[in-house]
Amino acid sequence: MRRLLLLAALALAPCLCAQDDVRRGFDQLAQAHPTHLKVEKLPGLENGAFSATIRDQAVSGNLPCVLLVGSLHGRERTAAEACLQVAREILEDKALRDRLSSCELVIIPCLAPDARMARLHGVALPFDDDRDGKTDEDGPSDLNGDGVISQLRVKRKGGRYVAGASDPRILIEAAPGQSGEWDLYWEGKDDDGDGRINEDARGTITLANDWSIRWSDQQPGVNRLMMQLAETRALAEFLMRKHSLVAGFQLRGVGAGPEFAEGPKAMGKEDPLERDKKVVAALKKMWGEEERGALKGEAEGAGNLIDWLYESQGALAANLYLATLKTAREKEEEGEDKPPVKREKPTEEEQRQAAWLAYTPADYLEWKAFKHPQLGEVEIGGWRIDARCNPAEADVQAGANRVAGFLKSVLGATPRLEVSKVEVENKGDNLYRVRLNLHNAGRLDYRTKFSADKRIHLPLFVSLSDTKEVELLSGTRRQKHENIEAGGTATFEWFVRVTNTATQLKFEVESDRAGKLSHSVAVKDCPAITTEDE
Amino acid sequence: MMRNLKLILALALVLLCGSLENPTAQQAPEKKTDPFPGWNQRVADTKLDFRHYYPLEEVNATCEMLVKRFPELLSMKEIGRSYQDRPLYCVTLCAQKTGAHDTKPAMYIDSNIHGNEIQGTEIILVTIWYLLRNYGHEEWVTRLVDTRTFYFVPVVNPDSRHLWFATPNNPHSLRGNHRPFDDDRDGKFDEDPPNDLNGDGRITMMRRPDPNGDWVLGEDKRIMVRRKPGQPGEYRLWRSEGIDDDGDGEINEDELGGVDLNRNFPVGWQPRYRQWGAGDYPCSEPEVRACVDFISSRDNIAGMQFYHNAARMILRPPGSSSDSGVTPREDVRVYDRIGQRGERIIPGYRYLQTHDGLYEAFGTQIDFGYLGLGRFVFTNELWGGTSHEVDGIPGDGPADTRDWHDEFGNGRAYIDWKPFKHPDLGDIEIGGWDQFATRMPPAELFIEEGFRNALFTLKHAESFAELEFVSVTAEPAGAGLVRLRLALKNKGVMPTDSAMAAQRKEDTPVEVSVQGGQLVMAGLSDETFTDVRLQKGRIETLKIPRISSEQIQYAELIVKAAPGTGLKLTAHHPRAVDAATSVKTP
Repeated sequence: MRRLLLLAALALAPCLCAQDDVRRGFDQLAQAHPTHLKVEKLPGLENGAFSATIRDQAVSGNLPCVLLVGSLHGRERTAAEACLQVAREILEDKALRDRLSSCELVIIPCLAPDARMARLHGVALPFDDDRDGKTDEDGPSDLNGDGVISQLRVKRKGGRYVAGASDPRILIEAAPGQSGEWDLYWEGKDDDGDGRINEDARGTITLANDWSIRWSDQQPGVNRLMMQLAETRALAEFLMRKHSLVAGFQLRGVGAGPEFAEGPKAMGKEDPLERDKKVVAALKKMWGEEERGALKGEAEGAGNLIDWLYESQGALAANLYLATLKTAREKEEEGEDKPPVKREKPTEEEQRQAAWLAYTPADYLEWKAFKHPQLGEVEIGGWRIDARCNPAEADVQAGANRVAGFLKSVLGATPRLEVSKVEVENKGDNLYRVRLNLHNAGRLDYRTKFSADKRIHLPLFVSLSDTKEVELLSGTRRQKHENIEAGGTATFEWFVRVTNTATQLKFEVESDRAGKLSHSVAVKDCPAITTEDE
Repeated sequence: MMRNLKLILALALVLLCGSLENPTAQQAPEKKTDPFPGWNQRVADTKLDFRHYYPLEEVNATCEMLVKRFPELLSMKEIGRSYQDRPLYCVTLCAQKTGAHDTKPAMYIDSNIHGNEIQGTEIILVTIWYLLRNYGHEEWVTRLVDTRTFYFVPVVNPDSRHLWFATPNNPHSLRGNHRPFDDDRDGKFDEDPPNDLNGDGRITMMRRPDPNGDWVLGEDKRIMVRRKPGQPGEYRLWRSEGIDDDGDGEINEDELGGVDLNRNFPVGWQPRYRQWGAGDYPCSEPEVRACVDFISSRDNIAGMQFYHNAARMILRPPGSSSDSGVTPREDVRVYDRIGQRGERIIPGYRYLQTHDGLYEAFGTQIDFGYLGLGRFVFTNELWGGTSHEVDGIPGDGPADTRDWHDEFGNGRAYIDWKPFKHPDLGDIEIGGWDQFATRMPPAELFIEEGFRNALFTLKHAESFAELEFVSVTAEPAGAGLVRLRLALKNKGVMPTDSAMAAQRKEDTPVEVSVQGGQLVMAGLSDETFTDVRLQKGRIETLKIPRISSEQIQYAELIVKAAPGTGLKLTAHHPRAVDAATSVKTP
């Protein structure tokens, strides 16, 4: 009966668009926009994960790609449904249609839909947290049958927790030297008789910290070895086949954003990150002003996705948040011209809880006495287990709209290669020095400076086509170039003999990001070279 | 040097005389009794020949033949597929009559992860053959096989082994796997590999007289050495025979493959820009994934051995850092005991820590095994190198190595330079080391080194933790209870778990269980049983944390049992040889 009640409560919980609904929503969108949306199962996974690619489906070849991944943190479930709203917003923007023939947005709403459905923090991989030879045998449980798993506290002198100074409902860790009053657990009991409570719950291994850049076995919730989870491998394999990734974003619940990957700390004197920092600053402007005093999201920790996207995939990468949350103190001081009143500042954790309490009061349950089978007299109440992860339902739509607006700007800024000019210098006797100017008309660099310096992906190539009328006398026929900054131009030169001035010079540009680009011009139509090499 | 060389030659001839005949028949002990019906004859009939190196197809056929002939000990399964969809096989050697393979501590041995480093595969065949031949006859071998499991993966990189034998190569080519890779970043993959220009079935070197070159003739006119600063050059040297296949002005700059599989493991992995050959992400390669999945799902693997070449080294982890702050002292002591024993077993081999003794490497097997799983692991670098001298064997420089090959390889090891008209370079000469030279001994001389390495690995397996009840006493404790006091020893060289395993939380407690009575309480104790620390939680078994090498752990158990009952005690750890004893209640 308790189980039924719990299931019923789960079904009724707000902001819990089921994965089937998310998939159905994308399928319906694909039916409505067959020319611009393709929904496909994510290869390598049998858990319902899929990708949705928004681009002009009639255009073939590589296009600069922007990636949006939702609900990597299992309990941040609203991110998956927000992905659907982002897709809808972008597909219904007619002004963006033309742009979608020269760039693409790939959305992966959720890598572990099975875990999302089961409301797990991590993936649905059985794991022996307490190393007793059994897996997932002692997780939280709904002891009082109210259909909710919340917290459980035990009054004990010398306990680890004390009531917060600003609000006695909030329990925070006692400061060093301070005597605690409470022990605090998630609601549950010692299921396996080992003397411990909730020490081996289901879904403790998180996807959020499984990535190979600065992976650490000390990170809570981490698997035994890096990148061994099926979901991680599936995304890695997906991106291995997509060398056109310009930017990747992880959509999260509540926090201040966007938080961009900053790269390794020690880069030596000539820091290749400086250029990328400028690009990041431009992207932050696209996002818009951040509210003063917004609480940061939960720290990502070691081995996170955005560091991996930046340092392993060579893409700009950031966490985007659906909503921001401000401390009560910041709210109080808003609009006040006078200097803030000096008073003892609550701890960061207390401020965070207080802010959440004000934001989602329904997620905090009143403490009620309960007779615990092992602990005796306890109280059950406090935070629901899945609280403090997702924005309030009313904020999801607004958050999704903001993210969609940002992504439209990013898509509009993706690198765009154009042959801006072909110039020649007539050396007499049908001999010409030929110079091609390749321009990046986008507002983002062709690739990150980090990627170019570390040679993560291939350079771009420009070739002078081999024709009877054009004899290459000097210069490399197929030349490579590592990077073109936003608004910048790269030049490529050849020394040729042509049949006559009507001879067509034909060029081909090959690039991971922009596919193939052909250009042809008659010698007589080319302006004279007026400047020395740039 | 020459005196030493003569000594070596003499020794080698003695060895050859002992091995050129059918080695099985020649060395078979007399008056053997069969451990299984027809066993000795079956062993004799295998007629394994270790005077040649085995192409992939022959390795697989040999393993299949052995498994078919010796089902009492051997089984074989596919553990994964390579990039080109060839099977990776694991041969399991386990005496079924003493328990299933996963109930005994196991030694994992693999080879040929680098496609050109081939002879570890033959060492695996020697190891299997040696165990089969001596099972039931040599007491230590019989005990080893009865109490341990052996997992052999003879070829981790089957695509490259296949091609290394099937096509012209040099000693260093086809190291990686066969995932196409764009070495020269020109957007094309594997388009400019070495070529067998003169059609002699091998890839050697190319040289062209050039006063601006960096190479000169050595004392032996065949051998090329780098010119000294200020010395005029004589030759330009290309280390591999080939042409400019893709017309980019460079020769052999984009060979076949690949990812260096031994940089693709999921511990300490670093991206390609920090570690060449790393692959796109840890375990991106199917060969590595197969090995990682196989090993990490078997908690009975206590030791691992990886065979590579060359330079005669017994390497221990870490490969990614020095020991300081990483390797617990206790583990170093264990490694030292096994590694230094290896130096005695294989003269000329140096026992070294990989990072400090060889080079820094990330995402390697050895770090996966030790830093990731906390198991004791070694990599042996077989043969080769120029640091050969132990009593001068077999020399101390390239010329000595060449002499060695001239004498024992019948001139096949070093191919004389011959003129050739090169399409891009004009008049050149082609010659130099043969594919089978420098990284492996001439095949006729393989057996001794092969056997010594096999023996080292078996001694590593012999070093596993072994549990033994030193004493068990029983006394009445009133109310139908009995107090048992026991001393449990780990008599192995290795602890039940390394200190690294404990650090990584990859350790497992030793579990002592009681049959014939009900265990009511248990606790670890000091030697005098005055300080007993009671075990927390549900008491189903006594759990003893890691027992170090040759250490005794004391414990007290309270058991509910009727007087005069025979209680059976067993001590189990997945990576240790278990112990059992019995005691009668008073």
